[in-house]
Amino acid sequence: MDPNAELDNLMQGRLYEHSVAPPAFVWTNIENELRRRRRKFIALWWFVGIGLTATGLWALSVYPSGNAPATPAPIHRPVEKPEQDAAATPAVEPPATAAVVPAAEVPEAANSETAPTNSIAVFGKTRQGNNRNAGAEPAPAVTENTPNAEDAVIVAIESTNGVAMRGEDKPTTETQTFATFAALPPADAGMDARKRPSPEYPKVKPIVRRKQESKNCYDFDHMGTVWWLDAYAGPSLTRRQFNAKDSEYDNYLQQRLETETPDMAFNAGVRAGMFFRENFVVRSGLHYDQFVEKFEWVDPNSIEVNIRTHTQLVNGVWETVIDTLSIEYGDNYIKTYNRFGMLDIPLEMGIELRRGRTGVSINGGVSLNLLFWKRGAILSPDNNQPAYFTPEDGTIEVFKTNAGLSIGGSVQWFYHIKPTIRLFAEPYYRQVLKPITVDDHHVEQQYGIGGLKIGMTKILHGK
Amino acid sequence: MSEEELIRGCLRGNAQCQRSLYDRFAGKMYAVCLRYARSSSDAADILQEGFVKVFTKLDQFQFQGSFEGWVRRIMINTALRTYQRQRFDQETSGYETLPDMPVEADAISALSEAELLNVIAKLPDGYRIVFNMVAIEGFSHAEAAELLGIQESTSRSQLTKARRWLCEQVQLLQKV
Repeated sequence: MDPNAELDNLMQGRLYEHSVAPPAFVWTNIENELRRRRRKFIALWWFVGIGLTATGLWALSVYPSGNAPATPAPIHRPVEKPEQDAAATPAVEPPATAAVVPAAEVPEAANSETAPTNSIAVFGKTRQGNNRNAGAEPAPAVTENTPNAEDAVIVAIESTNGVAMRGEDKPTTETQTFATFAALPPADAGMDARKRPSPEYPKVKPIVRRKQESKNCYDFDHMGTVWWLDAYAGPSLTRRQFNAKDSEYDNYLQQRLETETPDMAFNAGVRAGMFFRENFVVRSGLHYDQFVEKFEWVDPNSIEVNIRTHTQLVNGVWETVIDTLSIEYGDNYIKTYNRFGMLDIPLEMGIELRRGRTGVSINGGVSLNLLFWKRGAILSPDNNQPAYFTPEDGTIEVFKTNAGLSIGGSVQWFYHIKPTIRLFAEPYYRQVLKPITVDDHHVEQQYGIGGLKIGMTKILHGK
Repeated sequence: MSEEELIRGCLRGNAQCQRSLYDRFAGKMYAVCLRYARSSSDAADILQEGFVKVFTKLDQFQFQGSFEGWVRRIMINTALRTYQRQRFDQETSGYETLPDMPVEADAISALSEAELLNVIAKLPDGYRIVFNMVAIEGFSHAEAAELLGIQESTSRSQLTKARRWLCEQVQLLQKV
């Protein structure tokens, strides 16, 4: 029998099924690791769920107001009330929230002479009818336009209780307030409220209280095309994709993955934007992404031999002699931080939804790479030893000079701190369309970059 | 509980099944790790990492073939990831020039498993891994070479050197 095979069989027989009790801490560590992964997984799903829900709610709450009609809502204007009626009308204490007055709740007096109306204002709209007098024409509602739909108007009628307010007359202390009530037309059939002689009516002083307008909102609706400038910076993350061109390079790829780990990354940029047709956005500028990867390589069996060469006379002949000064055994450890920078011109289109001082815009577009710089080291595919790819003094050529086109998108949340100044936070993602490695490199390397842009927008007046 | 029930329990995330599965295989797998690792602490790390992989990738087990073989393969792959090819494919030990010294079967039988593991652990990384894969696990040289990313001839020469080195060590122990 082959002695080698015999040795193998002997060892296999003794060791293949051999069992050794592992240290107790191993199971504890496994449990902790599994628990940690489970928590991470659950936290991730919670995060995604909350994020999606919040985004959905936000979009729902913003969308209707972002598309609010520019035409104002009709608001009922109170019609003057006859002096004698004012005296006869009982004091009405409308509830503070008396916004809706259903027709059924209109007091019977509405059909009497003392309450000559058949028109009721409900939430600023006019409900006509309830004219129980045969032949009576409904009084047309008189409306006024408010400048903006967001300017909610509270209409109230103040009238003196039986005391006419004429000229400089001041109101008495007994004041009735009718909120959201429309004026009542006269009970006598056929009489048009518009033809009623006004001098016979008391002076009615309508109080129009506008909801306080925010001073920090830019009036996009009336400014047409608006320009702005952005400046931003923030953290990023990279998503690397490796692809071996041939299965024989799978091992090299694996080694690359194990020796290179993503490290910190950031983004910064400036851009100009244009806002047009109320909700549409187009923007372009300069965007810079820089990302770092840590390259770590260990040769545990490194032998370093220090030699010295000199010439000396040997048997009357000068010869070059090599002296070994020292031999060092140990680890050869190399660590570098590989840096990659991309300067791009993005061109993005988007839609913006606003509500008061805040809002979101959803954008997408392309980026054209202007500059792609890199420096660092990776494993060489030829000898699996570290090699530098820095263009000026590198030993291997790995990366292209230009990264080419990228596509991407972003969602921006903004907040006006002044009418023309916004702060924003904008998560984004861009995918570089082609591999950044040269064509003859064995492993294709492609990148997606995601991050958060935090910055400020200065709105330049438009028109 | 049968092996399949244990696996299905683990797939449901049952901690008790995970513990039972670990208890069932940990001893053998630790011995595998000890053969591939340089030290017992390295072996414990490999065992831990390997079992985490077993539990997280259990859904990939198709219930075809031996489960123990599947777990063993994960442990071996984990050990191989720990000791990379570039770290040992150029190594030398000084035993390259030793003549063939067939060792007596009795000499190996006289040693305990712990002593044998100790001898194997002293092998240089490359020798140890190739010896474990080919001589003990039964991989062919082609398979070992593919997994390690080395030439088949390199695998053969590493195994030869490992055998010589082991014989030398076993004979030394015998003399002691």
